[in-house]
Amino acid sequence: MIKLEKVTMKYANGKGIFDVDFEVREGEVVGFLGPNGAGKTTTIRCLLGFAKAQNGTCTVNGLECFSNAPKIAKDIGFIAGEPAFPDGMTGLEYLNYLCETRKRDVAFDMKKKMHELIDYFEFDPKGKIKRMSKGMKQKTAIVGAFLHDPKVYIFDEPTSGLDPIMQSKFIDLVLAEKKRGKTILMSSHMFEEIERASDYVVIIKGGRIVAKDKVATLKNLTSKVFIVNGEEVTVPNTEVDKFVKQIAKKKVESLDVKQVSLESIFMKYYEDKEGAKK
Amino acid sequence: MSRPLLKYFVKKNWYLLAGFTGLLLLEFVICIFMMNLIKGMTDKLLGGAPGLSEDAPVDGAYALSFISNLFPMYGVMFPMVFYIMTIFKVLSKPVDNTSLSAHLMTGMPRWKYIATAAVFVLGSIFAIFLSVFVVAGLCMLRWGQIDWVAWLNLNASFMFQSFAIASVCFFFAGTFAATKQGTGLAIGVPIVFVLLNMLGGYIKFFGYFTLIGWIDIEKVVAGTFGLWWLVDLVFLIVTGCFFVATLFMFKRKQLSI
Repeated sequence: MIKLEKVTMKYANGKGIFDVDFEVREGEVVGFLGPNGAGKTTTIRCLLGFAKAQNGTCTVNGLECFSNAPKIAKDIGFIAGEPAFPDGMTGLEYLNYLCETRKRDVAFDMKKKMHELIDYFEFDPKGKIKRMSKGMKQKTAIVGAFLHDPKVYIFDEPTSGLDPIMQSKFIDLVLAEKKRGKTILMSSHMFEEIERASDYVVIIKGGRIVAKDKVATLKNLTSKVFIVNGEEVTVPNTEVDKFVKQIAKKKVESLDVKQVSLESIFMKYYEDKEGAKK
Repeated sequence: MSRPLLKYFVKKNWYLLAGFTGLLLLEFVICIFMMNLIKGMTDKLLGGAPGLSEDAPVDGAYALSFISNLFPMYGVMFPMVFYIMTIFKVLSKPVDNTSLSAHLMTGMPRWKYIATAAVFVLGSIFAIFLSVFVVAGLCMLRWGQIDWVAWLNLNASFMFQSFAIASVCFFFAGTFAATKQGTGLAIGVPIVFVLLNMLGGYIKFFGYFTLIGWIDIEKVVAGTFGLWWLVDLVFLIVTGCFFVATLFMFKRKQLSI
């Protein structure tokens, strides 16, 4: 469904993506992990046909992305990390505009779906987008991406700006779409964000793919850092259940979970791979 | 062309069009209604308005000639400021701030966006000149009957000239959008055209490369400008070529999301 083969796109400053090669099969959800500046957005630009790769090919639904961008866009729901909207519109005007421009390609009532999604994300899109908070803008972009019920979703850090409840609701929506057989590529710089929804994870660093594996494999390699009553406790992911049962017997005044850094995932991943080789 | 996009352009830019057209009409109407007063001043200070005799009676023919002399200013500069601003709003800015992606992600091809923006810009210029033709033409009747064909030719020629310069501006805005030089070129090129056209002496010929100054106003008004159709045709060809070139360049452009 989504396929990148040896894709290279180098900027004048020497950065970019190099030999990026991975695939998202139909009905799969793949997390695209990488620190800021790793090349996630550049890869997505190539997939959406906004930029042409210097080498390699990227295809969506079997169509080459740059030359078939309009055709591909009809079947893609895209959310940008920093969504930009046409000037001077209210959220509702923007969503109505999307309904109007897409109406030739969509057979069902998009307005009905639009109102369902607005209710689901509990926001009022009547205000000017310019004056909306980051979270409100993000919700507007999310509704816009799901509106036409596309076959493929491409998300570039989709939950940035959303509060934890809305982040969770968004992941629930992604899981529901996954059940309906949709193909999803979701980029993020936070492992936690994608571990709930993804089947596979592709990790990019410095413009190169450094790891491709099942979420469960990566998850089992890492540990969780809990902060119990102000003290950090590192627990391997395989022993979280045991740990929770243990602390349930004690008096817990505060409990927090520290985010797993991507660096620690890379390190652990390589340590394990190297260990397996030896 | 995309109808929803055109509707959006009209909705978001009508006030700019209305403001510029209103201001331009106001200038013309004031000049027309105060023509005898202005004539008195120019006769006294300059010995008559350019190309008009001090002894000429203020009638329809005089009004037409007098108002035509204002076209290098009001028929070129006013529309120019308007279309530079409009092209910036419909083309340069959406590329720079990546809001163009919101349009393209609906499945709209790039050529459709460019074509719709071009239709809006050209349509706006047409609306400005149509308003001038009708309102200023009717106001001039206050001084007597005018030569409507000459007045139409004059407006049409200046409108086609604006089309051509706007298409050049559009080309630079589309081709160099999102680069450091993009906005500067789109705004700068038409201004350079005006400045080059002001050159005199042996470097005056530079002015002919600018598309400005090709229209012989006096001859158009007198009905003796035999090549008016050729000049208009060249303007239209230039317009078409630059818009097609913009489509071609924009299609290959690397865009941001």
